[in-house]
Amino acid sequence: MSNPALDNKRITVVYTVTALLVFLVLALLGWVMRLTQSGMVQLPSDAFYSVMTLHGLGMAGVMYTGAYAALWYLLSGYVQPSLKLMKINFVLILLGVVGLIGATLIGGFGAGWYVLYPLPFIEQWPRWSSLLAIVSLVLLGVAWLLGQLDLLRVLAQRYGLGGMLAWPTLFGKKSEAVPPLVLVAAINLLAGALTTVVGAVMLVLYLFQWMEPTVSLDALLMKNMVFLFGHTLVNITLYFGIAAIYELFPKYSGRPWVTNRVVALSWNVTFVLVMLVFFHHLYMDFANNIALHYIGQVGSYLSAIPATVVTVFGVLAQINRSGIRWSFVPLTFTLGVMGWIIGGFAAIVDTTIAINLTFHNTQWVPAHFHTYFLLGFAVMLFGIFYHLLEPEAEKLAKTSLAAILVGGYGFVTMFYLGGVNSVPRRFSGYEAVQTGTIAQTGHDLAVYAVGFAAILLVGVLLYYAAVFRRIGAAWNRA
Amino acid sequence: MNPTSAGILTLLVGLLVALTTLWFIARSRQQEPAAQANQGLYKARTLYFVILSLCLLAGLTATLGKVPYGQADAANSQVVVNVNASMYNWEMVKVGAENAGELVIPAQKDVEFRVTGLDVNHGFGVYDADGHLLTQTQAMPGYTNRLVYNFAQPGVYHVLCLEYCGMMHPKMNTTFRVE
Repeated sequence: MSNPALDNKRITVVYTVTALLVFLVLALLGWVMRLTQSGMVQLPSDAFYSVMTLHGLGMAGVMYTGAYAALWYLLSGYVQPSLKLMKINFVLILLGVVGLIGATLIGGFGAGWYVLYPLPFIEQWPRWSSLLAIVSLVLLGVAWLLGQLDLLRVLAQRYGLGGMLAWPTLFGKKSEAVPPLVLVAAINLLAGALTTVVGAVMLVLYLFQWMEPTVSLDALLMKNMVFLFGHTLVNITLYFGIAAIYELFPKYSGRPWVTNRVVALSWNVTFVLVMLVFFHHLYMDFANNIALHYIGQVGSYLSAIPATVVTVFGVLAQINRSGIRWSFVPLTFTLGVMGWIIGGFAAIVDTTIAINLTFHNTQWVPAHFHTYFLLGFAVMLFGIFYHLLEPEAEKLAKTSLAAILVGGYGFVTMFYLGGVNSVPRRFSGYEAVQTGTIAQTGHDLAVYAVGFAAILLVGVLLYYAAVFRRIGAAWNRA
Repeated sequence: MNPTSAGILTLLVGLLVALTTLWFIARSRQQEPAAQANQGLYKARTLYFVILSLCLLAGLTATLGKVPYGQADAANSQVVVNVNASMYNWEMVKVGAENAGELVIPAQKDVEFRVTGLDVNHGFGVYDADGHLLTQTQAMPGYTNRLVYNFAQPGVYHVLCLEYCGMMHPKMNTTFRVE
C-alpha cells in the first residue's frame, strides 16, 4: 500500500545521502587544490584547473540540490509536489554530475565554474569535453528549472500567486498568513526560475557556438548572463537554507515564527534585490553600463537590511531567554547564521566598488564565499539533514561541529590573509610570480590552509559517522 | 580604504558577530515567555535598523564618489598606453612612442591604460614592486576598458593576470618602469 509521507521521506533520503557523498568528494578536491598550491602535491596545471572547475561547478550544484531536496521535503508537509518529477530530476541531476566528472577529470575541461565566454571554446582540451560540460549543465539546468516550476505550481494552487508571496499580509488584508517557509520558498523559487531561464538561453547560445565555431558572441553580454544565473542560484541556495530554518527552529525553541508584515515586506524586497546584486561581479568591466555598477553596490548594501534586521533578529528572538536545549540542530542553525553574517559582511566589503578595485579576484573572494557557504550554509544544511535523518548521535555530531568550525575558520582565515596581501586567486601555483612577497605568501598560506582543511575534513567525516549511524531507521520512518 | 584596513574592519565585525551570538547562547539558559523575553530585543531591533541604515548610507556616500569609472574622460591624460592581453602575454605600447622596447611611463602624471583582450578574458592587475595590488581592470575581447592611474613613485611595476584565462594563467606576468 502506498504511503505518500514515507515515499516523500525516502526520495529525500536518497537526495540527502547522494549530496553528502558528492560533497565529500568535492571537498577533497578542494583540499587537493590547496595541497598543490602549497607544493606538497605536484599536480600539473591542466589537472589543477580541471579539478578547480569540477570543485566549483560541483559545489554550487550539490549545495543547491541538497537545499532544494530539504525544501521540497519540508514543503511536502503543506502541499504535494510531484514525486515522479522528483525521481526523474534525480536521474537528470545524476547524469549531469557524471557528465561533469567525465568532462573535467577525463576530458580535461577546465573553464572554471562560471565558464566565462569564450574560454570554453578555446582549444585547450578536447572539443568533446566542452560539449559534454555544456550538455551536462543543460541537464542540471533543466532539472532545476522543472523542480522550481513544480513547487511554484503547487504553492500557487494552494495559496494563490499573491498569497504565496504573503501579499495579503503585506497589504493589510485580513487573511491567514502563509507559513514563513512558504513565503521564503516562493520568493526564491520565483527568482530562481526567472534567472534559470536566462541561464538556459546562455547555454543554448553556448551550444550554438560549439556547433558553429565561426560565430562570435558578445563577451560582456555573456558575462552578465552567466552571473545573473550563477550568482542568483548560489544566493537562493542560501535562502532555501534560511527557509528551512524558519520552519524548523520553532520545533526546537518552542516559539512560533510567523509571517507578519515586516517579514513579508523583507522577503518581497529581497525578491528584487536577489536578482540585481549580481552586477557586483562586473565592477572591473568598466565598459558595462555605469548605472549597473551603482545598482550592484547599492543593491548589495541594501540586502543587509532584510537579512539582518528580519532574519537574524528572528533567530535571536527564537533563542533569547528561551531555555532552549542546545542539541546539534539548533546549534548548527545559530552558528550557521553567524557564519552567513560574517561572510556576508566580508562580501559587502568586497561589493564596495572602490575596495573591489584592490580585492577583485584576489583570495578575498574565496575567503568570503567559503565563509557564508561552508561555515554558513553548509553548517545549516548539516543541521537540516540531521533533523531529517534523526540519527540520535548528539555527542559525535557536536564533536564534528567543533572540528568543522575550528578547521573551517582557520581555513578561511588563510584566504582572508591572502586577500589582504593581494595574493591572486585561481593560481595553480605561485612559483612564477616575481612580485614582492606574493609567491612566498601564497605558498605559506596554502601550507597552513592544508592543515586547517585537514581538521575540517575530519569534522566532516565525524559528522558522516554520526548522521549515517541509523540511516536504515530514517529510510523506514515517514 | 586599503586592503589592510578592510581586513581589520572585517575581523572586528566578525568578532562582534561571534561574541553577540555567544552572548545570546549564554542568555538562553534563562527562561521567560517569548513575549516578555523579546520586548527589549524588538526595541533593540529598531535601534539597530536606524544605525545600520545610517552606516550603509555613510558607506555609500563615502565610497560611491571614488569609483574608477569615467576618469579617462575627466583626466584628459597626456600619457596613453594600449594594453593588448592574449594567452599568455601582455603587449603594452605607449601611444606615440618611437620604439617598442620596455615600457617606460612618467611618474606623477595621469596615465590612461586602454585595455582589451585579444582571445579570452584576462585581468590587468597592476602591482608595485612590494606586491601590493594598486589597481586593475578586465581585458575583455571586443571591449576596451579605460583605466587611469597616477604613479606617485618611480620604480618597477608588475602586471599579473587576475582573470583565469587558461592553463598558463599564473605565468602571465610582465613589468614596466615608471621614471
